Formats: sequence, structure tokens, C-alpha cells
Amino acid sequence: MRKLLTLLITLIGLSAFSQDAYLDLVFTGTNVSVGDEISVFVKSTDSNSATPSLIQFDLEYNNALLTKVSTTYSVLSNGTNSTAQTANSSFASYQWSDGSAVAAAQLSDLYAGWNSNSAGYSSANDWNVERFTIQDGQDIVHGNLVEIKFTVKDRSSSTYSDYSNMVKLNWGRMVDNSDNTNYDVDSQTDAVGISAVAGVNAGAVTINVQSPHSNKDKMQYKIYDVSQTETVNGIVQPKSGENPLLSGDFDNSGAFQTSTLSLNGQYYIDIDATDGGSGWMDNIATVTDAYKAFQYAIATDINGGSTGIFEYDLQKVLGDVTADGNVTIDDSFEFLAHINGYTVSSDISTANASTHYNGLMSDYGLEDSNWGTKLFTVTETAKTFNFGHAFRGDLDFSHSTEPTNAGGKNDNFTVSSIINPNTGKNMVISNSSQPDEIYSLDIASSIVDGKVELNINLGKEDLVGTQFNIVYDNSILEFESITYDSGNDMTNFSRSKDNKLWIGSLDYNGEKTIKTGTPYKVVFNMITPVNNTAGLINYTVTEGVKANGTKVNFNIQ
Amino acid sequence: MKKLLLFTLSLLVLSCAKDLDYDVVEYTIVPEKLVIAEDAGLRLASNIVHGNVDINVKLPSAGTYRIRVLDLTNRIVSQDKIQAPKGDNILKVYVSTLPDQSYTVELLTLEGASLGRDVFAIQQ
Repeated sequence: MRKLLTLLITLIGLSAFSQDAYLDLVFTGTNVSVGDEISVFVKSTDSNSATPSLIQFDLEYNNALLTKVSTTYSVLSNGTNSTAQTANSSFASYQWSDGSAVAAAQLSDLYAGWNSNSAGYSSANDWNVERFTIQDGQDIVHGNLVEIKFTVKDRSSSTYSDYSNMVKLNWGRMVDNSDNTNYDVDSQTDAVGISAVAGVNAGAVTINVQSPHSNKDKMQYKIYDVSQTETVNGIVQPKSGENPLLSGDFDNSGAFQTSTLSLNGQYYIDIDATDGGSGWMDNIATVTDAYKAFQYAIATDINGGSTGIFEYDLQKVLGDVTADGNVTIDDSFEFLAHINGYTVSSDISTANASTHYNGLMSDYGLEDSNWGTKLFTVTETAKTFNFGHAFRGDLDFSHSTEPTNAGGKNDNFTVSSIINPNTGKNMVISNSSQPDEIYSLDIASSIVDGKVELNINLGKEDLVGTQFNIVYDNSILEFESITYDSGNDMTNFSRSKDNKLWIGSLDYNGEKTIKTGTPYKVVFNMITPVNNTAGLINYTVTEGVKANGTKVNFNIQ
Repeated sequence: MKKLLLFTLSLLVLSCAKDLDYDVVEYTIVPEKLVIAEDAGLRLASNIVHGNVDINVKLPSAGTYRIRVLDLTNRIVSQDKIQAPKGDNILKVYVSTLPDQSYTVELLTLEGASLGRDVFAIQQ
């Protein structure tokens, strides 16, 4: 009976006190970025009245992810063991290769295995081993023993996909030297890593702007870190005075690549454009845009209520060139003034001033997203971002991205339901449902009776509007007159300023069409006599519009 | 004495000229760099242009022809209709109002058949 009791007590003792103490790695850092210094502590914890006077352990760290900075023996400042002896040996390019069946957490068993040569180390370029010995003539007080500082490296230049398990305990032992008691040492945390490190280079990130025009290399980007932005009236925007992290031009395909953004980094992008002196932005808003604006504005029911419907919600802001919140007849006349060469509003996009809308294609054109989300997050799987971009004043999307998210379409829009109240014809104020058409046009200059004549000859009679922007060499030519033969009731326009001429016609009600033949003849005097006119008179815009809003591009014969 | 000799020589020349029987033949002096060996074609004096450039349009017959200037996208940005005689015609292409880029100049019949083309760039 006595023997049985002794056995039971022994078994209970073994099961309840199978470990005497713990050696653990402790890392508590948060919001770690590449380049930050972090601390990893090795801590002893008593489990069964262990009173070691010798503590030894090996740890290894990943030198591809960490650079060791320093070692501090915390044990020396615990108030008891200030005179303890300490030693640290480093072994570069080795990694623990435990060939035994001992669990990684059973540190003293791993020590026993290693000490009997049944487990050991092998060469490994990415790992360094640190061996620590702490010895005192008295009991070592449990608690933090060592603090090791590391600098976090950018893993993009390594083969590792994360920062997990980058410091590991390999073995450990605790001994009471006074009676040579070897304690059973386990680990509750034998490996530490960092779940998220900011600033890891993302590698090549591609940004595309899906603009439909040929001046994409004159589109520009500015990228800010999200920390440089603020939300004002629900709209995310850069804080005042912030300089962009990155800025530059898109290439002629509307793309740019950067290798300076970070994984899991969130960024804000602004996309705009510059004219560069070529005048291309003066030609964003044309007679087709003007006609669409008029058709929208004059569409009213018998009570004067608006019945105009745009295909896309975005067109409500693109057409609002007076920036008063609505597309009205005032906006239409702004458009008309613009195609006459006048700048009345700074809200219609021109070479001198422009207003831009852009956002990720996923929600570009959605009013709820303020016409498009400008924030994007780079991840391992998301490194290409496609943005839409629109110019205010570009109602026909000639230079702007058409939204692809169905949520950007006006719920009430159907092609067949939109009727011009004046003509009974379809009034399509859209782009995708009404692709551009191409008409032939004969336009040429020649010398006639000592003057230079420019004749514009039209072969089809279904255009309600035309626009011809002309630039001439005013060191040789002097504008004299324009003769119209566009039809008796057609409203024509023209303006001459410096070396430019704006010529055209527009019946904004869409009821009358421009005559065929030679609707426009321009006469110039020669300041300097010339024998021919090649290159003297250049056409920057040649465009027509049909009653249903279809844009007509002229193919000059 | 010297004055008398000059006067006599002048009278002699004038009396001889009176008896000459001649035809007037119009002849265009073509600078070497504008010479076109073929019966028809177009040649620029320089392919890098500032302000204007001389051009030879050699026509197969007298009539009306087109000289076009096309941009990079082949869009016609300027078109001149000329009436000119058969053979070499030294004209000009004016570029001062064109944006800085490369252009094609092309000679065509009135019906649109191409007789020659060349490319020039504007000197920035």
C-alpha cells in the first residue's frame, strides 16, 4: 500500500511538473516598417520552482530579413544578477537541423539531443546562430534575460514572402550549479515573426489611364501616400502643402510603371493633363458637345420641366461648364462661345484651364464614389491599376473614358425613349449607343485672282452642325472675308483672332441641316506674295454633328 | 576716245540684235538638290524645316494638282490646289503654324492619284 501511494505521488508529480521552466521569445512591436529597429527579448519563466544559476540557449535569426544591431543583457539590470557572467557567440550562415523527433518547444530535450550529436547545425546562407550563456554565483531571477535589436530588411530582395518565424530558439538549458540540477525547459513561444511590415517594396506597379485620345503622353499623375490625404466633405484629397511621392507623365500608351511603391501601401492618385502648347485641349469640347448640351437643356415637357436624360450620370458634371450644379441653356451657350473661340468659363476644359474627374475603373463614373475612387492599395496580387479620366466639357467622351460600371448609367436612359421634342427624332445624348460616323469633305486652299481662297465643300446634307478651326500664317496672309452658303435658315458663326479662325454652323434645335456644295468660302489677302499655299492654312478641328447627336468626323479628300 | 569706242560697240550690238529670229522658251532653273529624274514627282530641299522649305513638284502635264500636308496620324492638316505647267515647279511648303512634329507632304492629281511624297520634320 505504501509503495502504491509512493508510485501515485510520483506519477502525479511527473504529470503536473513535467517542465520546470520556460524560455520564450518575446516580440511586441506594431506598425513595423522596413528599416525600423525592433527588439526581441528572451525571457525565462518559472514553472516549478526552478532556481537556475546557469542558463544557456541558442537562437537563430533570418539574416535575409533582419540585421542584428546589438545585444543587451537585461538580466544584469534586474536588481539581483548585476554581476552575472555573460557570453555571446555568433555563427554566421548556419541553421538548426533537428534530426530528432523532439518537439521544437522542448528546449532542454533538444539540447540533450544536440549535445549527444544526434541533432545539429548545417550551412544555410540566410541564417545566423547566436549562442548565449548567463551564469551567476546565485540564482538567476526569472524574467527578461537578453534583448536583441534588429533592423528590418526589405524582403523584396530576398526569396521570402513574409516575415514569419524569423527568430527561433533552437535549444535551451537551465542548471542549478550548486547541486547540478538540470531543469526541464520548454518554450511556449519558440519562434517569432511580424505579420505585417510596411514599406516592403512592391516591385513593378503599373498604372494605366484609359483615355481614348492620342495625347496620353500629355497626361500626368501625382501619387500621394494615404497619410498625406484628408477627407473634406466626404471627399478624399491631398492635404494642403503636401508634395506627391511620385509625379510624372504617362507614356503614349497611357501607362507608367514604378518600383517605388510598397506592398500593402495605400495611395491616392490625381490624374490631369497639360496642353504643352499644341492646342489639343482647346479641341476637347466641340460642336458635338455643344449640340448635346443644347439638346439636353431644351428638352422640356409642356410645363417646362426638364425631360433631358444623359446616358451616364457623369455627363451631368461634364456638361455643367458653368459649375452651378445643373446643365442648363447657360451651359449650352458656354459651349457655343467656346467653339466660337471665346473663353467664357474656366470650367470648360481648354489649353489654359481644365477640370478633371478620375478614378479606378471599378467605380469610375459612379456619383456615390465622387465619380471614381482615387485610393488604391498595392498587394502581392494587385499591382496593376486601371483608371478612367474625364474632362469637364467633354460630353461626347471624345477625350474621356466612358464608364464601364453599369451603376454609372442613368437608370432612365434608353435610346428609344429619348425623343427630340422639336423634331420627333431620337435624341441620343450618349456615345456608346451612337458611334461616330465618317463623311468625306473637300477642303483646300488655292490662289484665285491674287487672293488666297479656302473652300470647304460638303457632299451630304444631314448635318445640323459643323465646326472648322483654322490656323493660318498671318505673316503672309490677312483674313478678308467668309462667304456662307449653308442654307437660308442656318445659324452660322465665325470669329477671327490673331492667326486663328473659327467657322461653323449650328441649328441647336436640330431641325435644319447644312446645304451641300460650298457652305463656307474664306478669302485671305496676301501680305507677302506667294506662288502656292501648301501649309499656309491648317485645319485643327473639322467636325460635324447629326440631328440625333451622332458625331461626324470628316475624312478630307 | 574710250567713250567713243563704247558708243560704237553699243550701236553694233543693237544693229545685230535687230536681225535675230528667236523663240522664248520658259525654263525653270532647278537647284541640284531639287532635281527629279523621273517624269513626275515631288522633292523637298530639306527634310528638316524651319519657316518654309522649297519644294519641286514635277508634273506630267499642265493642270490642277493637290499638295497635301498630313500629320503623323495621316490626317490632312493642309491642302493646296495648284494650277501649274508641265515639268518642274519650284514652290514652297509653309510650316510656321504647324505644331512641332513630323509631317508628310504629298503631290496628287485632282482625282487623288499620288505622284510622290516625302517626309519632313519641323526644326524645334
